[in-house]
Amino acid sequence: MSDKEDFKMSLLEVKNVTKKFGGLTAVNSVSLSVNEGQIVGLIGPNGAGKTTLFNCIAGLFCPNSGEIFFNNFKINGKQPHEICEKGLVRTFQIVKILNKLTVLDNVIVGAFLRSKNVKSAKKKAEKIIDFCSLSHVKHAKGSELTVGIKKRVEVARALATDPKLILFDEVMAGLNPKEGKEAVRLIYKIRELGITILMVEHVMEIIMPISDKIVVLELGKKIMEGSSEEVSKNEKVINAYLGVKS
Amino acid sequence: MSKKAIFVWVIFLSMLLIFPFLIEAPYIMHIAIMIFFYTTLGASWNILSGYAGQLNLGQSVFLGVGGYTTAILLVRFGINPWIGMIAGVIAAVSLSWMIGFPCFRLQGRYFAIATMAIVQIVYLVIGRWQFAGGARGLSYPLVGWGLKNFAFREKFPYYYIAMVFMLIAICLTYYIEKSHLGYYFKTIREDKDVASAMGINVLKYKMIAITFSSFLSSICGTFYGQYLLFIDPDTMFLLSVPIMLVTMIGGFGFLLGPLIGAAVLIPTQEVARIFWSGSGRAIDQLIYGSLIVIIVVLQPRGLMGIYDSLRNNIIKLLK
Repeated sequence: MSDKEDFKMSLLEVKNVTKKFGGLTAVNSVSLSVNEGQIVGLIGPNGAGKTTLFNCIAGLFCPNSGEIFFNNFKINGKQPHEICEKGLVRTFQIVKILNKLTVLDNVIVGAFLRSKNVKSAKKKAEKIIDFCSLSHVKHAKGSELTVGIKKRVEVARALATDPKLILFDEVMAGLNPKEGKEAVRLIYKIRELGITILMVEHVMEIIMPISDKIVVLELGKKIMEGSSEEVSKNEKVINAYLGVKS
Repeated sequence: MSKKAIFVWVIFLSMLLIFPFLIEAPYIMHIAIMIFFYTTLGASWNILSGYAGQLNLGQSVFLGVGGYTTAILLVRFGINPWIGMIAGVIAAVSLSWMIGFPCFRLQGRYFAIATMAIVQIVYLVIGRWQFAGGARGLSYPLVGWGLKNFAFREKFPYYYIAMVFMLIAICLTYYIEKSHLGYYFKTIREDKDVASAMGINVLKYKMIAITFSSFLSSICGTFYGQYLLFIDPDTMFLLSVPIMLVTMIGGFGFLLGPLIGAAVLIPTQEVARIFWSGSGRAIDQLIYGSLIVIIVVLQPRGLMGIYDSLRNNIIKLLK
């Protein structure tokens, strides 16, 4: 495939993005592309720059250099709410749901993006709550929920914005194995809806099997990109995680 | 709204409507007018600081700008106070945008500090501006009585106007609560980052909140000037604390908070003053102050918060 065709096809295109904080270069000229319908995993040891890259894509940070295109719109430098409107939504690493509101209200907030009508937002929210198997806690307040349920509420809320692509920031963190399996099932269900997924993950047993493609970062640089198999066998990646073989 | 709630509101409104026919003592009417007045002001503060979470420590500046615009137009240019009220709204809302637009992009504390500064600045400027009456203030000329002139000899027309203002404030708050605005404001209040991530233009919605807030305070300012037929900086710019108090005691972020707060605090203040201020030992102030401290310590969400907790606990007990 030629480069031009690749560009036209990819939903999210990150080109040579660099983000510095003072003297620290958190993300160093990273490029990656995500095609529509893919599940792409972003892995790397702590401090690799994964969340910073996510924040650049989501609009929380403005890259020092480089460009980010989503659905052929340039989104670097745009505000988070504009990016969300374009169809790119993110979840947070430390789960941020509105504790004083109920689960239903949390999801309704997301639904309002596409329609300001309360009734239709409520209907949409209830459908999504069903989809995410959250009906049993629909009226519970955020503060009363366990971490696993909170994370699912965040996902539901993100889905309510009718996204084309979701950025999952360590959505598996803090889940027990059973919850992890349910989360994977939900991710597949989301892909079936036609939504593209870019996820940061540390839990290898989960991210490797489900990703179409894995991108590996270390100390701000992309060191490898390929299928899960290629990545798991790659020496650079193994060194990054386990240290250089002596 | 449930049928029961509508019924309660109809009864309540009817009682308010016939009240002036039952009680004619001017002092009691004055207290009622003050309750409506502070409810409206409390509601204006509640929208911005209670629902949207943007702490405004100088709400009185909008009251004052509204009042002074009307006063200056009337006293210096002979312009009808109703027109003056519209001008007051334009002035107050413009001021609110000038404060909000730069400050809302910063952390909340900077907006709070800015509001503290603005009210002081305007207070001092007006106090030295002879055209606006300076520190002595302006006495309103008696151009005539009646609705056309927004000036009355009896208290009951003021009562009804204040009541209408209060109802406007409550209806506006109710609309906010039931529409997407309420959800968006509460989201912004709890977590700006989450709001942004949900596609909410945080700056836009904060500006909407402050527009409603300054609008309501401004019409109260016009009203107050017309009620007293006099205006001075102390009357107009030093009310920020009672405004906040009324809302916080009644229930911060609740629809009925300002109403309950005003209905409790103002009679209490008056009763305490009547019965206990005579000794000169400020016992009335002690009682008033103690009441505030007790409520704030027991339940920071105010009386509505107490009601809400009680209701939730009863529901839990019954389950």
